[in-house]
Amino acid sequence: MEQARAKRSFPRVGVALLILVLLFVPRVVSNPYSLHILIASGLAVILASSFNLVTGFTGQPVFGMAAFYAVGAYTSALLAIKFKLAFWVTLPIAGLVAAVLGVVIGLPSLRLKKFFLAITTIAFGEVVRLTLLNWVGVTRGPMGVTGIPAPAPIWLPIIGRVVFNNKVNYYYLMLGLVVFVVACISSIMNSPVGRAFLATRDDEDAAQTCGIDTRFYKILSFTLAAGFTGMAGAFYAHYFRYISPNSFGFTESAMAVTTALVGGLRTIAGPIVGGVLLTAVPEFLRSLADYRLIIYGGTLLLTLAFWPNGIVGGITSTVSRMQERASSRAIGGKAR
Amino acid sequence: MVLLQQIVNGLIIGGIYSLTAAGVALTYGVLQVLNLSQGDMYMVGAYIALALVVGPKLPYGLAVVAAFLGIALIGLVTERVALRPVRRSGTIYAYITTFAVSFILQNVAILVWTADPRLFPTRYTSVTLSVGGVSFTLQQLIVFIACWAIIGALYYLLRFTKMGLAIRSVSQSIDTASLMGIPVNRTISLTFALATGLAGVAGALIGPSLLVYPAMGSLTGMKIYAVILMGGLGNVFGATMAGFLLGAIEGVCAAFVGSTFRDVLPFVAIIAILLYKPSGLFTRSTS
Repeated sequence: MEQARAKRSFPRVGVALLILVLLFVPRVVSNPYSLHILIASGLAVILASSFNLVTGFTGQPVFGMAAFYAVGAYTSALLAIKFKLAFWVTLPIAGLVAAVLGVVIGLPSLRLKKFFLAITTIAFGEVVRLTLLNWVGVTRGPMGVTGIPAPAPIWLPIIGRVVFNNKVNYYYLMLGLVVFVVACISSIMNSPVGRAFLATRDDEDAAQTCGIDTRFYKILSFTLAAGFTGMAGAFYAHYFRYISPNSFGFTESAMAVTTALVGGLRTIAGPIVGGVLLTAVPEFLRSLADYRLIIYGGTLLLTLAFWPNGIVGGITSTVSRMQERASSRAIGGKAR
Repeated sequence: MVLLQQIVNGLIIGGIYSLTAAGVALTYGVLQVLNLSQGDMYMVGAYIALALVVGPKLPYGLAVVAAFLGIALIGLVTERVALRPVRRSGTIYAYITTFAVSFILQNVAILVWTADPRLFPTRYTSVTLSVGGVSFTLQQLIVFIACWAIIGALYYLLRFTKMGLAIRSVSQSIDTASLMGIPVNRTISLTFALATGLAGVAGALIGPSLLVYPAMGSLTGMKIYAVILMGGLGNVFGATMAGFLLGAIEGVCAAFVGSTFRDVLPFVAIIAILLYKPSGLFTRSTS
């Protein structure tokens, strides 16, 4: 009992420390380029965490995350431009609209399993992208949406007026969003809802026998993941100030999958580690310019060949193996 | 007449879908893995043929064969480095490794041939034939005939040869097949090489009728997944039929609603088909 509590309190201290460190990052790293990479990492973390929620934890393979990302971005951008709404209003609306799309994309999951679901979600992703591309009257099609306003300045207690004219403030906004999403997902996973997700993933029939409405929980996980991703999309739109259908293709969906898998599926930390590494490492390879993405692909292959459970999974199993060895050595010593 | 013309165009591109999709269906049948790099194999196939026809001025037919062999070789390597290491860790990992291969192929293509679209003229592209008001180039006719010939050869290979028997038994159960003394690893390697080789041929065949560029495999790749779902996963002949069907549907769509929403159609179609008949159009219901 005592041990269990100690085990739980350690990550909390760790998380608090990590957030504290992240709060001070702009003091140390002040050049806009590095901050930009961190902000892009944050976007990757949200996408991968949302993907992990529905695929890793609930077992529904979704390969069309970019659909939610796109819908969030376009909703927020178009509302801000056409109705002059503030980012602080359009952000939750973007999340809501994407969540509704999540319900729609989740519905096939009640009938389709595995590959069929995976391909259906790929297809949904393409339908959304091609609709944005061809519905020129609303989305301006291939030209994309330009002139998306930056988030309006806000007053915060203690800090004062925050104007979004530099990367530092965007960094803090991104950090807030990432903490919000990860905190939501981790508290969901520590609640009965999270256990229902896991039960749905592990054995749907058994879960149903225990009175878990797996249909409800599948749709719920789609809705939540879509909502989070939609908010990331809204951030994307107001950060880059320009969006086009090309920003939300199958590559973006596949990147969400890749990030979560390389970091470690089915863990909270995996998508975070993956998001930061897979966004930052290709940037460090910039000097290799032309070969950058090829090396990136090769690294992916190697990581998955040697660490099938991703980086976090690989580290965890190595650590537990070492602990086991240490404890068995200790027992062996006593016996002698 | 416009309709008929569009259907003919659709059937020609449909043959290309058929060949590429047959490869994906073959891989799926044997390994339960979706090869996300098939579209890029198709693209590299087109480039190999282009390079051989424009560079050393090889005859077009020879270039097509070379594209098949080249891509089959790339397929062999891919199976060894990307699929075999993760065969036991779950199919989702295989998606990602094939995606990584797709990434590598596309970027290598950009590096070698640059991102600019290229024209790929052959002797046959400038010869126009006309039958009853429907016109097409000799090249398109060759594509159409070649597609059917290859599909026939594939059928023969799978049904009547020892290798086909091995492929079919591995697709039933890898474990049982290995107990029956079938060299499973070799069969899987050969199947994958054959499957990707089909994409290479498809690229080499359609290249002269379209532009060749590094991203040309992306949308085709996506449509291929639509096609194999229509045909039933793992059902090679269902996939070939669905390929022609999709081409024809696209043609009809282009004639009636214009080409704007033509590319959306296959995806809407598969969602509808899956919800109506989740096992695909060309499979008998087994459940």
